[in-house]
Amino acid sequence: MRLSNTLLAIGLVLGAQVALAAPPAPARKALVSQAAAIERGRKLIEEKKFKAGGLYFYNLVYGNSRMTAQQKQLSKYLMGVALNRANFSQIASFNLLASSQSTDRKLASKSYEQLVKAAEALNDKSLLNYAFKKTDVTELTEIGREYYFNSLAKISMEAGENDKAISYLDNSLTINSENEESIYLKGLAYIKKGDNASAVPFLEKIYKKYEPAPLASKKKDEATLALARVNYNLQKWTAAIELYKTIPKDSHLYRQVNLELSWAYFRNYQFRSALSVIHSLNTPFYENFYDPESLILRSIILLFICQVPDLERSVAFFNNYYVAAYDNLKFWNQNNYSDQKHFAMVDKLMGELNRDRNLSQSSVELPYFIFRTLLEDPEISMKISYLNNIKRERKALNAQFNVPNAMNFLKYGNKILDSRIKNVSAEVGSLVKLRLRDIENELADYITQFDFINYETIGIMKNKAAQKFIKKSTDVSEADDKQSRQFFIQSGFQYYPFEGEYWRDEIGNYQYLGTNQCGAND
Amino acid sequence: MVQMIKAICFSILISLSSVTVLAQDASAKTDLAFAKKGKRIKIDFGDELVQGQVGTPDAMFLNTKKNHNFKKLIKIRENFNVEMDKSKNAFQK
Repeated sequence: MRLSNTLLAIGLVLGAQVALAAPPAPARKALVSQAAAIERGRKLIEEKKFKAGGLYFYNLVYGNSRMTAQQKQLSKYLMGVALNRANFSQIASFNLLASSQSTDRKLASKSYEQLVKAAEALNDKSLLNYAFKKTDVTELTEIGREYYFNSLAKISMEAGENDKAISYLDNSLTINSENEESIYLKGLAYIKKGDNASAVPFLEKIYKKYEPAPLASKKKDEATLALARVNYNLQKWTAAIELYKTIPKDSHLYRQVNLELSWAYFRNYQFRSALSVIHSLNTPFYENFYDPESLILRSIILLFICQVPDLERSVAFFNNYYVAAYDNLKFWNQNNYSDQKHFAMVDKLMGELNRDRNLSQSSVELPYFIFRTLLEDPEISMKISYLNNIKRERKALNAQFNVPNAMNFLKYGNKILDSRIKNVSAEVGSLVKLRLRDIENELADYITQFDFINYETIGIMKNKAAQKFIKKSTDVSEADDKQSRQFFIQSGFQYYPFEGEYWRDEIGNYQYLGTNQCGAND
Repeated sequence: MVQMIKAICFSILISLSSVTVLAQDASAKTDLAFAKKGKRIKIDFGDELVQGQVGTPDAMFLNTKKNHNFKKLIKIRENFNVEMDKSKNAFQK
C-alpha cells in the first residue's frame, strides 16, 4: 500500500511536469503514450509481479528511444523498485543510481531510499553509506527514521566525529527513547570520546533491560560484556570481573570473555585467578584461533610471580607457533602478491570450510589459524557476504530469466554481476593483503614483548641461582626436612605440569595452583 | 797555591757534574709526567725492525645497565574499545 502510494505520488509529479512543459501536438501524443506505458509497468509492480515488472521496464528503458530523459529516469527508478522486490538488488542498484541523479528532487530522494534497501539486502557497506548520506530524512517513507539516524551515527563514528554521532543518536532517541541500538551506540560514542563515565548510564540501561532474559541470549551477553568493558575502562576491576563471570560458557563470546576476564584479574592483582581462566585459552581446544594476546598475558603473569618453568614453556610455545608464523607471513608479504592471489587463497579456504565446518588443517600457503581468524574480521566477512550475495543473484538470474523473451535482460544482468564479482573479489583480496600486513606488524610487536619477557626471565633465573648458592653455603638442614608432605594437592604443588592437554568439560574450570616464587629460596 | 787551585777546579767539576745529573733527573721526571697526562712520548727505535700485529678481542663485551627493568615496557591492556566497536551491530533490529 505504501509502495503504491509512493509510485502514485511520483507519477503525479511527473504528470504535472509533463503538462507544464507543453510540447507540440505530435510530441505530446508520444509523451502521453510513453506515460501510459510507464503506467502499465507501474500496475505490474502494484500487482506484485516484480519479475515481470523489472523485465517490462528494462525493455521500456533500453529498447525505446522516444522517451524523454525524465521518463527514462522514472522508468529506471521503477525498474529498480521492481528488481529490488524480486531480490535482484545489485541490478536494481545500477538503475537506482542512475535515477538518483535526476533533477527531480523527490525522485532522487526516493531513489536513494531504494538504494539503501538494495545495499542492505546486498550487505554492501560502501553503497549503504553513500545512500544514507544522500537520503533526505523528510522524504523517508520505507525506511524507519530511527534506523536512518542510527546508520548516520555509525558513519560519523567511523569518521571519528563522535559529537555528531551523539547528536544523530539524540534524534533517534527523541523518536523512541527505548531504541536499543541507539542506546548502545550512544554509550559507545561516549567511550570513543574518552568519556567513559557518561557511557555507563546508557550501557547500564541496556544491561538492565536484558538482565531478566534467559541464559542463552546473545543480546544479553553483548549487553553484559559492554558494561563489563566500560567498568574495565574505568579501572573498576571487581565490578568488571563480576560481570564477565556471568556470561555463560555456551556463549559465542566466551573465548573473548575469558581473555578480558584474565586481564581484569591481572589488573586486580589476582594472578592465580587470571592464570586459571587463561589455562582454557591455551588448550588445543582453541588452537585454531590466532590469539597471541592470551599467551603474552599468561607469560606476563608468570613473570610477575616468577614461575620460571611455566614461563619457559610459554615462551617456547610462542616461538614454535607464532614466531614461525611470523617468518612465514613476512616472507609472504615481501613477495607483494596481487589482490587476485590473495582472493584465490580466501576462496580456497572458504571452499574447504564449506566442505568441513570443523576443518583442523588447510592446504592454504599461510598458517591456517591466522587465515581462519582473518575471515572473522567484520569488514572482510561483510565483503565476503556481499560477494556471496552477488553470486547468488547471478545464479537466480540465470535460473529465472533464461527464456527467449528475456535474453537481452539476461545478458545485461550478467554483464553487471560479472563486473561486480570481479571488482568485489579484488576488494576482498586487497583487504586481506592489508590485514596480513597488519598481523605481521602486530606479531613483530609481540615478539619484542616476548624479548623483554625473556630478558626478565633470565634475570629471575640468575637471582635464583645466586640465592641457591648462598643458601647452600649457609644453610644447615634438619632431620625432618626430607619428610614428604604430599598427602594431598596443596597450594604451590601440581600433580603434573600443565602441557596444554584438556578434556572438553574442563574448559573454563581450571585452577592454577602455582604460588609466587619471587624471592623464594629453593 | 797550586793545591788550592786544584781544589777549586775539583769542586767546580763536582758541582758541574751534579748539575748535569740533576738536570737529567728533572727531564726524566718531566717525561713521566707527560706520560701520565696522556701526552705523546717520542720513542726512537732507530733502525730496529719492529714486528707487531693488531689485537682484537675474542669476545664481545656488552655494557648493559644493571637492573634494567623491562617489565615497564611490557604493554598492558587499557581498554577493549576496538572489540566494543566490532559489536556495534549487535543490537541492530
